Amino acid sequence: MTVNRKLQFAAVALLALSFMAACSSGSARAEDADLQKALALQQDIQSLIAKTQPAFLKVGGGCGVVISEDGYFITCYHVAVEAFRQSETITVTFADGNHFVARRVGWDPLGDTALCKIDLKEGQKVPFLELGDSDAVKIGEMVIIYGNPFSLSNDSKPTMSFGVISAKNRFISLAPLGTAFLYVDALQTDAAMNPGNSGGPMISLDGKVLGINGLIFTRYGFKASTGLGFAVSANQIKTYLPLLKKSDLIYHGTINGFALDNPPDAQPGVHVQQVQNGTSAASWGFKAGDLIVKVNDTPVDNAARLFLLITKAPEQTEFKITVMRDGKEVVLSGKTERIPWQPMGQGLELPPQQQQRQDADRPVLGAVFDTQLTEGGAKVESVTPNSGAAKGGLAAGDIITKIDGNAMANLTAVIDYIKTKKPGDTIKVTIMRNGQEFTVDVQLTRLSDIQKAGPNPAPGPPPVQPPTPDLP
Amino acid sequence: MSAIFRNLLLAAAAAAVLIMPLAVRGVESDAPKIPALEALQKEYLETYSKVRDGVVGVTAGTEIFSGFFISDDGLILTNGDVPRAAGQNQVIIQLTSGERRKATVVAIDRFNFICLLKTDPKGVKPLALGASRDVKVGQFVMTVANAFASLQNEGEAAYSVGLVSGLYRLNGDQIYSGGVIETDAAINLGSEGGPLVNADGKVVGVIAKQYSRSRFLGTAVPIDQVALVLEDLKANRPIFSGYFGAHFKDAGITEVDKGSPAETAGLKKGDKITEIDNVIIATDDDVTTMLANSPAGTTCNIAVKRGADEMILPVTLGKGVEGKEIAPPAAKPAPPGGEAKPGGEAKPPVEAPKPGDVPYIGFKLADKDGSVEIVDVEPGSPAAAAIVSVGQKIISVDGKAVKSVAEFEALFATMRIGQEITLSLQNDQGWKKELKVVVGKRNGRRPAPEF
Amino acid sequence: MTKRRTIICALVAAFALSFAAHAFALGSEIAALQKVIMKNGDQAAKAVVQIRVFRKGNEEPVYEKIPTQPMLQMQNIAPGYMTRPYGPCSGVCIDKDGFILTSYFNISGNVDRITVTFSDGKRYPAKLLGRSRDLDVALLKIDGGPGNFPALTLTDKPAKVGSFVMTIGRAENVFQHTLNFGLMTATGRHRPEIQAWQFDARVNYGNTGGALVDIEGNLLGVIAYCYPNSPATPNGLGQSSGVGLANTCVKLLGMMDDLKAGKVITLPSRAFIGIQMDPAYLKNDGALINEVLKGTAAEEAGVLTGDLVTEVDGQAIANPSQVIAILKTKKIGDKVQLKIKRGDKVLTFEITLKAAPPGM
Repeated sequence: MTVNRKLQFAAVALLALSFMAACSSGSARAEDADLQKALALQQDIQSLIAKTQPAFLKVGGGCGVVISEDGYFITCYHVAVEAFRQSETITVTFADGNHFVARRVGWDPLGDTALCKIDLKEGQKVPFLELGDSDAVKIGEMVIIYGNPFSLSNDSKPTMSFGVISAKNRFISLAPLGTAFLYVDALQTDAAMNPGNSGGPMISLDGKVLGINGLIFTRYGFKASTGLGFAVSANQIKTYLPLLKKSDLIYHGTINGFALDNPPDAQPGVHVQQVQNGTSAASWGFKAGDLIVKVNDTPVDNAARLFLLITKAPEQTEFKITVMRDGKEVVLSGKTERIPWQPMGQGLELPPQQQQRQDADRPVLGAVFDTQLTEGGAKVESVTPNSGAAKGGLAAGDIITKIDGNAMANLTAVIDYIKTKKPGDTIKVTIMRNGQEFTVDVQLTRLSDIQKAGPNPAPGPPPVQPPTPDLP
Repeated sequence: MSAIFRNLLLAAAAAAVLIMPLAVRGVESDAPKIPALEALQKEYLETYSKVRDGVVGVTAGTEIFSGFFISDDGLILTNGDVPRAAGQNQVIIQLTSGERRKATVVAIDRFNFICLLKTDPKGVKPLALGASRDVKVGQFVMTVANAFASLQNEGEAAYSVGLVSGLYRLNGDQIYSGGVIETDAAINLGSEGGPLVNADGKVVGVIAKQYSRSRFLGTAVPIDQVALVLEDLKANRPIFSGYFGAHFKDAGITEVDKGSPAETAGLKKGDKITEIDNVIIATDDDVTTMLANSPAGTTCNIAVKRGADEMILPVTLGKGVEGKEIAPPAAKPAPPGGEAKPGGEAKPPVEAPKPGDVPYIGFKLADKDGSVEIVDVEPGSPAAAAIVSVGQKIISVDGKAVKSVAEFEALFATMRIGQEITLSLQNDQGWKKELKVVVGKRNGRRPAPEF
Repeated sequence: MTKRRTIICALVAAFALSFAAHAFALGSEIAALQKVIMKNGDQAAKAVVQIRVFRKGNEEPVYEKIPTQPMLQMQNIAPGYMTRPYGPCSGVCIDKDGFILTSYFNISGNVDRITVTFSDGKRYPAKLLGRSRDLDVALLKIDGGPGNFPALTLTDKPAKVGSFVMTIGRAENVFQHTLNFGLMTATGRHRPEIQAWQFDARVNYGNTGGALVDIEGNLLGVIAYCYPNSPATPNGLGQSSGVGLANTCVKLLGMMDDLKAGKVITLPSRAFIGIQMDPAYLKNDGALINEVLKGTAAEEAGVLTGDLVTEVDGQAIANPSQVIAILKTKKIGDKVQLKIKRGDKVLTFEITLKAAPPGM
């Protein structure tokens, strides 16, 4: 054989050997490769933490996140209200231990959002994370959340948990509007959220804030994660940011005065059962029997979707709502009216400044209602001593079905009706008690009169709602 | 250089091009560089997109469940509680298309505690069933389900990613007492009846309501257990509890059927059963409680004493055969929902007190520093049910202050079976609590300080 | 002829090289990660044992009775949620001679006898040796046995926040371990004397006492502090809540001699002064006391609410963290000197630090 030929054969033999070697060590190399991939994932997680953690803030008993380099940060309203209870300013601390003075800027109580600002010197900057697009996010995208669950931390470094976006644009409202936090456009995650995570950021893989964590559903009254956590969406925060920067207290909007239910025959849409006279629904032009099918250009096929689209926006937002009436499309337009912040039984007080702003002169019946009953009337849970309700003879367990002859479908209807009255007005309240109907006269009094009189009106046991929502 | 070497070099260069990274990543200015995580995320998104349209929200009366299509004739698997919850109402299915459809109950399997529904098959996207026998602890699984009405309200199934964190069976005294795939993927109200899928999007389990109290993690009925009885369910043939195949008296095995699961597992005549799945066995009732209500395919760990030896033998119950079931234990309430028919609500029969029954709370008290301390709580007792704990001090009973065991004994003498008492408790950190206890019954009084 | 051979050689070369490449670069992330978890989890789990504790007066068979109502109707804490459920628990074999570490919670109560069962179903009696309620750890020793038990080694391997961890137990099914996966989220928890790992891999009564391992299956610690009424919060950390704690190997190694000698280990009580300072007082001229706790050294010394601490042991104080930093270095019996501004007056106190009252 020529030298060339020998070399050629050697080359082929070498290649064949390396091919066989590749096959046989393939499995061992594959196992190494698997471990390398796992370690690469672990490394990526640590990189993401290193890149995003600097914008995290310890705020009072909860957390916050800085959203611009001039020191604006977001936290939950329920965290801010506690932190600012004694003073106009608080100390906030970054994960690296640097602390700053911060003050409140604007608050959205219903949306559980608070905008605050760190006091910075001229030209001083702080680390921040941009707000992302919570509508563009897909279910299944990964997120990391930061927080201080169970307040175990001795310093300001947060702990973290990884998870995915489990659901988005969730309308979580378990009490009549205005009486509890409304997570109107929430992101849902299975990352572990517990008491102490409130106000912390939910961050996507590209390092943007998709939401602010604030609500968990618990089981059996035990305040810990069940794999279900909710965050106020970044897009909602972006909508309110200019308003929060300008004014103190922001309100969401709604349309009051219609009773809704599911359409017959499983049709898509929301069926208007009843419209009350003198309410915003009436002035919008809704009529009993209407089938609501669109809000602006978005189709709605259930009440949750309808209320999400309306209450997500600030008060006085214009909407065009399409209904089907007698087989034809009718477009109604109008502006939403304010949802006042009247927390009931949640045990949260407004800070001293806000309490003064509260309308102490508003007319009240003097009763605390069971927020669990959602139709057939408003159920009295307890009657405040020395109130008009007490003097008129209302008692716990009574269900208010009519006021002044107007049917009251639920507690919202009662609240809306009383808002149209003045302190001192007498109303005829029709109640169901033990299967019998009674009508009594009740004189409405001032909220402030009840608060001064006698022993503190007991707020009654907190409303028990299945499932029990909790504020971490 | 010879032509062959030149060509080899060219070939090597070509191969090098083949193995180069397939895409050069576009430069993104501030986003973290985490390609491995992004690749992982892509796989999460792919699995969800494979599964989401096969999942439905189920509205039964005022309760919500999940379900999923298993074939293109409109058959849906869901949780076994749906018929009871629906009562006289129509079961309504919500699809991801936004459409709502009516559904009817085809059959119920009370052992797997699942139910088969049928609806209009137009356009349905059934899910592929996997094999739960291949499932291993540590592998990825996902839940795609109707958590808190996400389908009815937001039009999408909720998604959670986790691992298979355990494979065991739930103990014998519950509605569902079969094998489970346990996962740390989120399972919440409304998820029950939805699919547990592997990373390929194949169904490996049906999400269940039950959970182990020492783990507090979600569980799913293994799909192989359902596969064993699926044809019977579709044809509405009766389903029987899993076949064991050994006869026993006083927890001792008297006979082992040829070819039975007991024989295959190695059980022999003369073996004395000491434990089944962590529960200590003493009587035949104990055995039947653990075996009579389990679906075919459940694997039970049976500990036996054979002479001087002790061993644990896993027995996988076979397909139920009429006439070969283990008779359920006598005088124990039937599991609620066991005979559920639409419109019927099966309630557990309440046992009336028998002669010799006395009031029973289930704790042991001791005098300590001028107050009464709980030093023991009997598992399964009314005290345990009220979550009374060892170490707590009883301050008052129904408002009456109690400072000694003797004072408690005096109050206890006035209590009746079925009475609800309110205990005001305090622990040594000053934390106070009020708990309500329903006084139970026990045959035969225990002497104070046990109550 | 040469041309054909050239082409064949080129194809073989390309095939061989690309085959080698496939062994490395491409393939599913999930597939790779779960293979690593399963392989290393299975291996580590051989050393995780099932422990059964028999307590005096409780030999009858009892069953877990989970309420049969749907979750929707549950309004109160589920029956039995806050008490240890009936059934076995987990432990870790850390020595081939059969030394088993577990959590104190698992073996607390009036213990009559203990058995340990390995993954092959073989069961052995065990003796309880040293333990610590404060550090939630206990050591068992198997009686007899072949002396070649599978074991995980206690080492001082460090672990970074953000690294993968697994929690392994064996309570439910003796033949199949349970395994949960997550991240290490903090170190040095939850009290300085404890220095535990914190992680979000699920922890519950079933796996407390079991093993905390890293992605390669090395032992990092023994799971602990999963019980109601933990010092952290009145309600405990909640089962499977995503907040779990484990004693580190380093801590356990330090206790091993005492545990083997059968000692009952208690933590020294913390030195405690008894003042609470206002975090919202931001004048940077001292730490404002907004509460003096009853029965503490500060109360006895005559410190009052409203006092402004301006110096501690001669060091000027601007805020509460500076006060805490100095106090953290003190032991019971140490003296500390406070300079206080009360209205117009400047007062000096010398306070001898006592133990923290129970519950603080």
